[in-house]
Amino acid sequence: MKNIFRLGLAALLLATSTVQAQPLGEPAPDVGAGKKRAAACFACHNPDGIAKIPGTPHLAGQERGYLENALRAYRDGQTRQNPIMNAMAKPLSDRDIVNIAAYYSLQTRMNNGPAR
Amino acid sequence: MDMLGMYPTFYVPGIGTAWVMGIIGVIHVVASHTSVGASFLFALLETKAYREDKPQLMDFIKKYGMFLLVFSYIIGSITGPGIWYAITVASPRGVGGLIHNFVWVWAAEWVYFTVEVIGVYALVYLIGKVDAKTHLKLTWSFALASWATMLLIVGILSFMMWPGNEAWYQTGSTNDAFYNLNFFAHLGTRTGSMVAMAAVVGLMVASRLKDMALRRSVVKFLAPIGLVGGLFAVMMFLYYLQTLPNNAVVMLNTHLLPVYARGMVAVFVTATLYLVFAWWKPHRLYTSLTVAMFAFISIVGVWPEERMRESMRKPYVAGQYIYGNQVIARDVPGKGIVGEVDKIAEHGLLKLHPFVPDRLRVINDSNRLEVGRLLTKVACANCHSLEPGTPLRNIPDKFHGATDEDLIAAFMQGPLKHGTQPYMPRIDLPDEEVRAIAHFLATVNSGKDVDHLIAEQQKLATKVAAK
Repeated sequence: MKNIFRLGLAALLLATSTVQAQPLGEPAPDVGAGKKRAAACFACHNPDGIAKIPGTPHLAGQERGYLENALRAYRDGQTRQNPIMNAMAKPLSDRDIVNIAAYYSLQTRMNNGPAR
Repeated sequence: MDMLGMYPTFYVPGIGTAWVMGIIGVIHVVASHTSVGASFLFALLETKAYREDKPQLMDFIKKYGMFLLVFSYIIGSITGPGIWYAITVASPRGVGGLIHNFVWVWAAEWVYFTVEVIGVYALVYLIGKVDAKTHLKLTWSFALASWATMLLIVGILSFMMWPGNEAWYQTGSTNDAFYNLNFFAHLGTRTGSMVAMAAVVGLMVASRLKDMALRRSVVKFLAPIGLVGGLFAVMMFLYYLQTLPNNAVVMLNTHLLPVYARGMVAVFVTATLYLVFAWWKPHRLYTSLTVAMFAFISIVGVWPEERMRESMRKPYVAGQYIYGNQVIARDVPGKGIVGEVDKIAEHGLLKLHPFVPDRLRVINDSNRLEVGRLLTKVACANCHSLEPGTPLRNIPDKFHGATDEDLIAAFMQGPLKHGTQPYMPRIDLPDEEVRAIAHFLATVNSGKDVDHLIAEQQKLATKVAAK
């Protein structure tokens, strides 16, 4: 019983801290939706965000704002030009970008060996 | 418009034609490596019997030879043509490409194979009927002919991985194809492992010998040869890994070694320990244990080895110019072969593939799913099964169950269109074909019964046509 209480407290703490990290007026990112939408990304970046193909970056634990900006830049196809990522980002909505960035940024790189 | 020289696609649910071929192939490799390895053990053992005047060793050779005749040669001779049937169906253009390179090499292989088969009969049935020296010559001829069949087939198999040089693409010469970069490493690996395997089968036969003195002398002879063979195979395998193309190295590191490395080390360690044990205590050689050891080597050793070699070669099926999906990947001026990827990008598979049914050549709302299934089979199913959870690198799992059509299509228009994944072919298709495939895959991934849906749509379409 005590454990459940502690768990609830921890969850509450975590939830409030995520909400606090949000700019006012924007809904919190939906990590689950991000994961679902990112399924096609896993072919190269993997579900755990640790890429195995040489030349493909790890996304686990990457800065959320950076990921959002990168995806937006890939989507507009002007600021960042890359035949793979321009195609992959094109169908993403603003919400998708926020969710996917949140999904990858919340992962840790622990126990996965050094980043290449 | 000229059609491509494509053949009908055969599809085996779950395991694909690739595993059908793989299963037949592994049985064949186990049988054939054992018999080629055994031929050398016979030759060495008989030389010993001749020099030291120990005719009783010939009893063992006769027993082992009979065992080979009954098992290896019959199984090998059934599975050999079996491989031909399977690869012709699974990869018709791959086989065609190999025949256009190696027709005389195969002809030579079959000559040696004939010598080998006649040799094993003569060897077994002429013991004691011809003088010892003539028989010894016969056994050595048998051994060399056996190894020649392996040498010739390895040149072809190693070319399948890649020529390793630009020369062949320009000359199209059989020599440039045969003596490719990984030929010697591959030959060494197989030669070492065939000796080790034959030694283990030799112990199996020796365990049936009642005469303990004979058994001891045979085992003390076989075990060290098997150990040297195994060690040689491992060293040559490490060399082989250095002769692989980049796509194979990436495949190895990302997908294969994490799965198979432990098993392969386990096979080497267990086989070594077993051979050392047999060498040390020949009278403790139990048939059941030897049979189990051999099964272990076949299943945990040979199957992964063959599977790895087949997987590493991806996306190509032969010579880095034919993709697994039978599309010609690049120009080969030496053979007058022209790449097809760009032509397919421009006109689409539906227009260029000769075996697309006419009602599916134009996509509309009532046939999109069926066209998607057809195109997926043509473009992907040679290497990927389409049912979730099945063993041949199934697509639903590779896509992690993605149900978003737009992102599946994006993957095809990004990485696949530009060929940026090292072990995937460059698949560049017109937009509406991409959308049909994405529609099909998304439907499969969402867990719907696609075959049933397609049957319904067909029924509806015929009804509409009848009106």
